[in-house]
Amino acid sequence: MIARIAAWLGERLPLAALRELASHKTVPQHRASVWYYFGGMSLFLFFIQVVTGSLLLLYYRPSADHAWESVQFIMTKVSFGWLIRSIHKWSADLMILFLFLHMFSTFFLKAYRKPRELTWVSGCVLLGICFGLGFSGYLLPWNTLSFFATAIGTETPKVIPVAGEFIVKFLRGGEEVTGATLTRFFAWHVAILPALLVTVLGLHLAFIQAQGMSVPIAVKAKPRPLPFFPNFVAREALAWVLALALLASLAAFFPAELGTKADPFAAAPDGLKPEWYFLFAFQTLKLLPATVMGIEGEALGVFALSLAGLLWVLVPFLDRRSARGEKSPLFTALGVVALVFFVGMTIYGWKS
Amino acid sequence: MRAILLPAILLLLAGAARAGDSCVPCHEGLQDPRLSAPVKASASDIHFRRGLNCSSCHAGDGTASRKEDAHSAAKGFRVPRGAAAVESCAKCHSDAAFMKNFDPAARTDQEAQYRGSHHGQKLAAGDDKAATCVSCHGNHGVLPVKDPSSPVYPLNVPATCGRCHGSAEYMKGRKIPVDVLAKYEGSVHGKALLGRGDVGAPACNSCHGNHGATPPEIASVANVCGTCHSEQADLFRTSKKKANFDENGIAECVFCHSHHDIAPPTDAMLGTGEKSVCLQCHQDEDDAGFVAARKWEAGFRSLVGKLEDATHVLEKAERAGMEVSDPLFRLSEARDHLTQARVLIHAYDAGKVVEKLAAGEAVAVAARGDGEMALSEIDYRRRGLYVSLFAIGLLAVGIWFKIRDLDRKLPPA
Repeated sequence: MIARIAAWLGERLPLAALRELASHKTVPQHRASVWYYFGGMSLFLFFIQVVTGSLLLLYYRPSADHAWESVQFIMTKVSFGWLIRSIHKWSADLMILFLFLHMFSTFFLKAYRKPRELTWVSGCVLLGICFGLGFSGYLLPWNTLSFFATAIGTETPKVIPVAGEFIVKFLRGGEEVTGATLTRFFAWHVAILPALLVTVLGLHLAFIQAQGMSVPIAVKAKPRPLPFFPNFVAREALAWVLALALLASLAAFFPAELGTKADPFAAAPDGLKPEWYFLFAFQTLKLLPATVMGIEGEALGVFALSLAGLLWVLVPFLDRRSARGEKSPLFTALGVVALVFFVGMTIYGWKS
Repeated sequence: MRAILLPAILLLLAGAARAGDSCVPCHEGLQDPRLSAPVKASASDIHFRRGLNCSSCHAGDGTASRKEDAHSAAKGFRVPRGAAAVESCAKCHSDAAFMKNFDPAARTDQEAQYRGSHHGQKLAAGDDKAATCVSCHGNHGVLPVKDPSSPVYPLNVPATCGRCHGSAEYMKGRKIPVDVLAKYEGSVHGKALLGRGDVGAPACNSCHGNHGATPPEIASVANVCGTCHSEQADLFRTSKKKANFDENGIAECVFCHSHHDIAPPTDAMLGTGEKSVCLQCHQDEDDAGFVAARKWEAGFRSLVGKLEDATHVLEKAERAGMEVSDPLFRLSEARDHLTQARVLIHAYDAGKVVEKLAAGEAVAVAARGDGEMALSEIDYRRRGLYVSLFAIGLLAVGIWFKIRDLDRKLPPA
């Protein structure tokens, strides 16, 4: 039966060419090839996000009057609604975590070096889109924490000269965080950003397919080629299954919280914090003094973080040694500094 | 005529003081603090800030450079004390036309109220220790009532009254207790006012009055308490107990709640235990009041227990990550029933209290049921997870064996 379906499809689609491609595609096998799996795991979690997000859309109502109530309905009345929402929340967190692991491993293995500069840049853009998805999704339950965290988060661009006020208004859909902000964030979360993500993801995967997997500079011997299909795919499938087990456990033991409904006229609660992946930036801005050499501290912090982010994206073009296939200890050291800063400030922000 | 002349004279005097008041430069250099302190305090005095000066109360000649001329009896110099102090203050504060120059809504009935107060009556009877205006407001450095440093600002009133009424030595020979300040400080009202700084909480003057201060008589106690606790007062007035209390000359509220040392009411005030106030009248076990008190106490204890139980179960479910905000919110409805039942006691209508307690219990029991369901849902989820993990584990093991099998078929490196 399967053979007959394959034959039917083969008469209409270039299945033979795809089969040929799959049979020849290989992945280099060496001591660092375990890091190859994190990109695929992030992709798997993105699929889960799409599926669970689509299910949540069946009940979610994007308005200030109904958002919180609809999420409460999902959590208490809809069959397995709690599970769908909890998996959506946890797979978002895990996806960002695996993206960080994927990005830092790519950095330290210098996999961004020529000719893969565009793969790195597209990956950075993907991470940025995922940040946007996380930030916009955080507001959607319309609870006290998400409301005030969004109010603080959308206030930050105000320090940008000339365009700051416009950016804040553009993000909020007005002067303050209101129901208009919620509608706007909903549109970003379920339509605009996913469409952008799929487009850039397609490019990212196309670059990888065109250039193959990078072999670290330190691996001198020619690595053993591992057939992509079925050997690498089976390994990836095992990683996905283990990620699924982790996801199910987190959802069952730590279901997503709902909190109290946002009251825009109430005082902001104490100890407001953003999602964990924004904590390093939040804590950095918090630690800065009001003014530094006559410049507003927060403005200076936003400028410094933006500049650091830009340099991070441009690393493949700045690291000339690795582009020549030579070791580049300076960039390794910079990567260590960036990692220590990110982890350290995240923990500091979490504890304080 | 007086209404026109008096302000004109006072304003002229104020103008003269500004032009060349000799009181301040002379007195502030004196060694005796009794004579120098008054002028030093005048800078913050509300009267000075509004243009009055020393002569406004002391008369004499404030422009004279010699003491003999300034303190000239011919020019009316005086140091008003006792009844003279009241008259001195009333000269302006009872004059509505004059006071309108400073505050169109100013009260001018203070003197009349004072004359009718216990303080005023004692003073009229020749008791020179009786409080006058300056006893509470001060004389030099008088501050507006709304100034937090004023001795008559709500937070400072108990201490101001307590200066006399808390002093055994000052009150010696009088048949009134001097432990009232200490009792008040430990009371629910005192803790609210002095502990939490709640200026809405009653101070001494809230019940006794201020200028017309007098102890409320038995018949008026309920009216005094009822100004704030109106619901309880209304219920009591329409209850069958009202007539009993009146016949026996019992002061309504204070009989159960006391007065200066009013403690926060508890359910233990009901029933037949040590802290029961019902036993003051209903000591016989066959007494209908004794039976009702025991029944009410049991009812309240039952509802409070069910509320605590439901809260415990729901909080346990919430800590485990369950969404129970709805039943937790509904518990506040049960708490409202409890509060309403406590208020209804003042109607002495067993049926109404029991009905309210039953309504509260029904809500608490339903909320607990929701909590129990949430807890059993947790167990269900955990069991579901273990089954899923087992299936996922089997799949993972299967894939692992498949990988080994596939790798074995690879050509040697």
